[in-house]
Amino acid sequence: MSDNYAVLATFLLAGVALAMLVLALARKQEAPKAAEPFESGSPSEHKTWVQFRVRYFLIALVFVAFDMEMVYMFPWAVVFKRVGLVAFMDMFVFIAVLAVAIAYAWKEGAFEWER
Amino acid sequence: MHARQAPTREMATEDLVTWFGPEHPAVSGLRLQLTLDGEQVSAAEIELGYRHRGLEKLAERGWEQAAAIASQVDPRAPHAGAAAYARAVEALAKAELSGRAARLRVAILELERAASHLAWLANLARLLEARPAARLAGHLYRRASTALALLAGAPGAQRWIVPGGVAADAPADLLRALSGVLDALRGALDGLRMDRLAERRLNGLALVDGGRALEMGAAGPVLRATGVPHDLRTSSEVYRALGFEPVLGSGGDARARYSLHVAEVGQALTLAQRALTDLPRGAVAEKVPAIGVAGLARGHAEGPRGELSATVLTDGGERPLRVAFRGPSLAHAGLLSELLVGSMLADVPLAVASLDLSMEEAER
Amino acid sequence: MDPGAALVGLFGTLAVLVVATWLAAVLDGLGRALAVHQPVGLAALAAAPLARLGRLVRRADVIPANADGGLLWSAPVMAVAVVLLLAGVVPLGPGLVIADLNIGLFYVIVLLAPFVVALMNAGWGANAKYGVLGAFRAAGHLLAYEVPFGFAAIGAPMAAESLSLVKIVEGQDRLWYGVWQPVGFAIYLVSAAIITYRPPFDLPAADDLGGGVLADVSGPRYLLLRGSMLALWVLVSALGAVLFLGGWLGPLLPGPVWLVLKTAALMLAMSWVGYRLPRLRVDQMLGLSWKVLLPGTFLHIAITGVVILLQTGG
Repeated sequence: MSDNYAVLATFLLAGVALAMLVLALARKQEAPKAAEPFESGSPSEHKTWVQFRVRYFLIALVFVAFDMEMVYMFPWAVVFKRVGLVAFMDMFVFIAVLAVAIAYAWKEGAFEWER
Repeated sequence: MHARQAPTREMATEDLVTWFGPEHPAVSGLRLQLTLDGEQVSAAEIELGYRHRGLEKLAERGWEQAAAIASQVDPRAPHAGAAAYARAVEALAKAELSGRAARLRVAILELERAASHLAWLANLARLLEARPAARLAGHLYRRASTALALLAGAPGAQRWIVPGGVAADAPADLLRALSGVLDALRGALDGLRMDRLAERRLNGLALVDGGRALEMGAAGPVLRATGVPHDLRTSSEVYRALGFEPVLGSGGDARARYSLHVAEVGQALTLAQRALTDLPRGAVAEKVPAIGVAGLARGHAEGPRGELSATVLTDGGERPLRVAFRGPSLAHAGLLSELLVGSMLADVPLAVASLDLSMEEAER
Repeated sequence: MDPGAALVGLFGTLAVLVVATWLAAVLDGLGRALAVHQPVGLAALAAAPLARLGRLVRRADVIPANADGGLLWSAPVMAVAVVLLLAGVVPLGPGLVIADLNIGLFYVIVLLAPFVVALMNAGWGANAKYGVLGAFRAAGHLLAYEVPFGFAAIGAPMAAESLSLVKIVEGQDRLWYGVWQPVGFAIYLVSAAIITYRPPFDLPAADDLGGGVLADVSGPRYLLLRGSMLALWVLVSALGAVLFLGGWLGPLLPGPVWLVLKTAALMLAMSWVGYRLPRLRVDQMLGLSWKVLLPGTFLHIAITGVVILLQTGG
């Protein structure tokens, strides 16, 4: 098994090296005007890296919870056939809880963008 | 919607201020300064000056020049501009149009409207990524333009409506070409209809209130889509004889404008067809000299984007003292800064396109 | 695996990826042409990506003024690395896989997330308004795809009793999972379109931002990012074929041919449907994901569980 990961580590290094090689070999643009970022043809005047208002932040919070719950489901899925009905009931309760969570978030307007 | 307020107000966020246009894939000819709160527009300012050509001053050089410039006021509606100017000169000279010339003018103005509306539909569908509809509308637009070219020559050099009538009679194959476009349109109506996703994008977008639109001086489809029955053609004898009734929309949003444009294309082509059928006999033009009559006169025409008018002041000399053109696009651009507030950035190109601005006409 | 075999595997994978990326560009064009009922010449479609490649290689690499150089570099590097790491676990045929991991499916789901980060870095690092706006749209994609993607894919390990992609394919020798897990399959395809930025979910790089995260990317850098996006599309589609269409399984033809055919069919379908639909705004996409796809996956897991229980008589 560790053999597999050694090979994948080689792949990772190869990918990084390949991309960096392409970037290193690329012809660089020297003209300063060309380096101005595109903003519909006007020089950029205002601050770019602002504290942006991320309107889906509530979804992001719900997402973190669900992402973790997804992690728990994978080991369950593997043993599901072996354990049988008990596993199904367990997961049924789990999904019911998740569904309630979704319904609550939905009702609270987490999925609507605040206007 | 929700009784409880999300506690976002307590978190300090900054606005992102960005330029939008004039060199933008979806917005050209004007520059918007958008203040974005998240992806939502909280303020929009419009800057003009990218399409100003000083046409009105140039028109003072001579009558020939003025007539040529009239058809350049709105490059996407050359005949409407020429018609407005011709009517102004006819009013000065107190000349009457022959029945045949009046009908021929209706035909070309309506054909122009159909072509312009089809181009608008193709553009909006393209921005909506409704690719089959965009392709269909683009195809119909090219057919309508071909029919238009039969009458008035290649685009860009079109000058056909002249004071006193029209420059030449309609070619025999025009009616056939027109019927061809009309048949193609009838077959394509299903394809032009919006699907549910497109409808949801356009619903409530760039919503214009009828009262506010009137106050700002809006006209054309933008105004009619709010349900206000304002159309210059209603007061025209020729149009009434052809059975004209203005098409009205309801809602005043981009969706209403989309449906209105689809309906007006069909109406325009039908009117053009009727106008060319059983043309009354008579001359297509009589000489209307602009030199020798003094005074102030105004002519109007209902262009594809709304009412176009030309005002001519002359002392009877070799050149007009003052020529002024007026169209609806400046008013529509003025509405834009109000309409954009609250909409999502991804909808801004759609909102701008849905007003069918002609910045050339707005800035002259 | 000895080092020699690993090197052969690496260069073989790279060659396959290059061809697959070209094929993805062709299928993208074909799907688009079909969607708008445009007559197509296959030769022109096949040549267009090559011509584009030639132009991009020659073009200069523009680094925007005041950009964050590190982030800007990281974007293509991360994207290419993710693609190679994913390509290493997709089984092409019986025994034809670089690394058959016992946590294969989980590994895939974990690796997809950095790809989103790569695009975000490209947008944010450019220090340009449209890039920054595109980066936040790209972040929205992460919230939209990952949970439905994982929950849709979970039907396969439930039936195969393993997360190994090879075992999942072998478990479908009698019936493809896609046949009796249609809900999961459909949700998988939609979330796959979201993660690979396929239309109608291509908002981070949309026209209204003049190209968004890719607006200030040019030349070879663009080639790497755009190529990775296409390659990722191939890989996620191939994974769809592995999870739901029996991977390499099929009569007569050799296994890899079957996998390529199934993958290409999925890609053409995604491209054709995608180009018929109008682009979705971020809020619409998130609404679709959380109000339709996620409840749909709960249904999918429940049905899959009941079917498996009935089958095993448990």
